[in-house]
Amino acid sequence: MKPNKLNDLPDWIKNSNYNYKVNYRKSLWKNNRMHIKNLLSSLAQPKGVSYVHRRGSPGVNLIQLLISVLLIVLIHNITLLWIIYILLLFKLLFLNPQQLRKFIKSWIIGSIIASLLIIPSYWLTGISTVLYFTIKTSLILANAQYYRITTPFQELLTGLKALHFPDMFIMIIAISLTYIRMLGQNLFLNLEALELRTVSKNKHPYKLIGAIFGALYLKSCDYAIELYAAMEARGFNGHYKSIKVKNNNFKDFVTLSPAIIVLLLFVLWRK
Amino acid sequence: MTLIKLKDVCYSYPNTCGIKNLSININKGEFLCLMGANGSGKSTLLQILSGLKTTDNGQYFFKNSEITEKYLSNNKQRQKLHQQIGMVFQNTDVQLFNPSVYEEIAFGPKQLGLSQNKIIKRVNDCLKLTNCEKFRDRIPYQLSGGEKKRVALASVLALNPEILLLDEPLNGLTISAQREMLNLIRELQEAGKTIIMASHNYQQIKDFAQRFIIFKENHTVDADLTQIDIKNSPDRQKQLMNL
Ligand SMILES: Nc1ncnc2c1ncn2[C@@H]1O[C@H](COP(=O)(O)OP(=O)(O)O)[C@@H](O)[C@H]1O
Ligand SMILES: [Mg+2]
Repeated sequence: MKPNKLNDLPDWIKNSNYNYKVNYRKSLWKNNRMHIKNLLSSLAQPKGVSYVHRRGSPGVNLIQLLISVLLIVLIHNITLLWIIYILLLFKLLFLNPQQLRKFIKSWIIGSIIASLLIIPSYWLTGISTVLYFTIKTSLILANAQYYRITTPFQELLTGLKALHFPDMFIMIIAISLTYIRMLGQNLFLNLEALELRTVSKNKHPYKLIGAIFGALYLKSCDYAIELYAAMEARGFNGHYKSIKVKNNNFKDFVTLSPAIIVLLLFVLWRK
Repeated sequence: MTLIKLKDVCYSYPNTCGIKNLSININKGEFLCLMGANGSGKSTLLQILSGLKTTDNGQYFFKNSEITEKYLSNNKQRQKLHQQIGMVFQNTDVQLFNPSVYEEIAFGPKQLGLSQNKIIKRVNDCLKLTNCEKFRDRIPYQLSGGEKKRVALASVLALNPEILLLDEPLNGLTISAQREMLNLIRELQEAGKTIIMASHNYQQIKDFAQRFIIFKENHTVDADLTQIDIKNSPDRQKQLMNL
């Protein structure tokens, strides 16, 4: 292609004059832009998960989580609870510092929120019950959190499948998780684009919000249809392929053994 | 006159590198093309230049002010910057959010405190330049990919920025629409605008862009060459043809 002349540019475009009389007053969105952007970008970009120290197969990891949670709920023996705590701490040794920080941060926040919910029972039953439930809840949170930061999304699906969850259930989880992320991403990019063309105070911010969410809604309708069509086009027929899970794997056994030991202790320990 | 100065700029995403150790100067009135394979960092660079992202390391100077998070947190400074730098996104879908093409293009000028007549003239001029008159009353969302690119360019032009950042603006356009858009961009440059455009199609723009910055797969700059440098180097041409 060779350059040739087609248009006559209008005069206004030929000079760059930026002395517009515009009002640069603050607005809510602009003041909070960093917060909103950070929030949306963390929704849009799933935090990295580590694949390094995976031990068991997906199904076994999920079973391990379920057993741990079940045990924590059922156990009334403080010593056994401590054993579970220690096992958890041992697992944490294998996390890298960055993950550990993430783990501790969200665990503490979760535990504080949980204990706030439990505190009213102090007036009904006394301090020991409150402490007891706080310990249990924070243990459950810790286990769930550990699973979350060490398990890629795909592995959760594989795990659910290996445990014979119905396909419908898996599909709903799969679509809604991918979907929410994608909508978050879309909204985030919309706002970025908006920011670039916001060159002064907006006179009709509410109209604008309407327009953005309208566009997002249209996008989301189309996206849901396209997503399903694309899944069908790639051979999806409503069934998630069952993925071979090696049952008698030594690693799986190692992964499960702490939970099993605690389980046995729980069953056999009668005072 | 140097408009943009980048010194050792690095940007990383949470788990990948975006660009690494980038140092370039860009002068007023240049037509610069960023070339490189997919994922080599072209879009990341444009986002930094537009002020959407700030550098992790290194410095970005625009007209002698260093653009940092702090600089951008000042509303007036940030909006002044956006008046001067316009960008067409690679994914144009997210850029269009108004209920009609006309309003999409009028969105910018309406904020500039111009008179009603001037706004209408600007919008009509932009519709004409980008050949979008036919669908001025349609919903941008329902346009085809190529039409969206043109509307996006029109909506950015309406603000009359001094620097145009164009992220693969020719994708999805037919050959004749590509030619029209390239000629328009070239004319804008002749009128004094600075053009920074990302592309991976050398054949398409080899006669238009005057300077080429070539990215390597490892997100660093491989070469910074003029149009003539490349025409004199068959090896380079071959490399660029095969991007
Ligand atoms: N939002 C993002 N999150 C994480 N990584 C990203 C994101 N955007 C781009 N990247 C990565 O950054 C690198 C550079 O990307 P980009 O600048 O978009 O390349 P180009 O535009 O040259 O194709 C790529 O490796 C890409 O995978
Ligand atoms: Mg790109």
